[in-house]
Amino acid sequence: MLSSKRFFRIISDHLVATPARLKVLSALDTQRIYVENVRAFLGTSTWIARQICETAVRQGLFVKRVQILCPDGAVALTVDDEKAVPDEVQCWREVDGELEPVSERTERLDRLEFYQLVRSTA
Amino acid sequence: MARLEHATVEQLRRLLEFFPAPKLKSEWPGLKGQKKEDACEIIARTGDHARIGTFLMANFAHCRQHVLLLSRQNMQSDPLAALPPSDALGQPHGGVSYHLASVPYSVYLLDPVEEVQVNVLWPIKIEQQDEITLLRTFVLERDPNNYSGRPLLKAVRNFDEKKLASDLVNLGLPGLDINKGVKFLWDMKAVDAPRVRYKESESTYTVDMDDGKGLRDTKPEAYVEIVKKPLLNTNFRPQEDPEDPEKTQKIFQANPTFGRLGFTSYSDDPGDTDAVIKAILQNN
Repeated sequence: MLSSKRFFRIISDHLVATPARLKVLSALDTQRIYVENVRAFLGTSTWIARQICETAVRQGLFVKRVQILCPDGAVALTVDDEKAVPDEVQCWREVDGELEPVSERTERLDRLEFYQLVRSTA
Repeated sequence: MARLEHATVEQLRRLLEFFPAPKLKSEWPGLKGQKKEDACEIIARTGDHARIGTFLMANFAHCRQHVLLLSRQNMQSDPLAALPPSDALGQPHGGVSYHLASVPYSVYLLDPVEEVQVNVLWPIKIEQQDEITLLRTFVLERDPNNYSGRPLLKAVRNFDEKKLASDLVNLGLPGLDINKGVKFLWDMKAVDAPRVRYKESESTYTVDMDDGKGLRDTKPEAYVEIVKKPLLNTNFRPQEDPEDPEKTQKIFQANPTFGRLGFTSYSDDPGDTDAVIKAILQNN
């Protein structure tokens, strides 16, 4: 398991590696960290990026949250726990050039995980 | 193969209509000059189920298809459990198997009003590669072809394809994140994207390029920022090829964050679909 010190060292090692990466990290919203952001930042595989995020969760540095996506990809709802997902959410659908509200069953919708840096460690 | 062996002429017609006409006429050369719908009926009436089954497996890659790339978190999981009932068609080589499912539709006809149940035969290809499963299915039409000669009021498909992804997640087969592999092809200029959807920090953005231009070549500053974000439904177009002017028409859709690809054009070269999937996985 990574210690918090080592976790930040990995990040900072890459930070000092290139100015481009520094720019990426500084632009990252620490309250909306997707695995793909970490992967692109570190230039690593998705699997390693996910392991780093999950290690950070186990060590209390990150918390994981879940977004429920409407069929068009818009986020309908963000929850702390998949168990808290309601049966339906409201999305919007374009019909004949007009937007109409539509209830979608959440069991049919994609779920996207993201991570937040716990503020006390920020 | 029970579903194929016991298929009615109508079911075989609908099954054959999934395939591009040139491939049908190449396998059954006597049908040159026939319209596709007539050619499908003539082949269906031959009742040569074995030949149709062999043709299906050999020409799967030419058809319009959805591909789900799944991460095998549970190695024992069978993706067929999330699909309508099916029979095995064949297993040509290790790790690859073909299946034929029945998708039920309720069809409402007029003159007189009548509800009819129609089962459309739906080919499925499953490929197991170490910790990845590739699940390929043909693109289903909204309405099954109406051969009744009566007006069609509406048809309702009694299989919710949208729920398939969450059912697979529950089986321990979530979508594989292929952002890295897709972005590799984009970066290598094998493809460019006329439509990009991606996730920003607190919003979701769509970029529709004018005149079908590619985002990477037209807006390189935006491109370098977007490739750091998770991609959602994005349309990709193969790079121009002077030897194949029609290649750029073969747009495919990718939702890399959820491991989905959609090839909604017929493919002349069976390698087109396979080559894209292979290149993505090799660089993911």
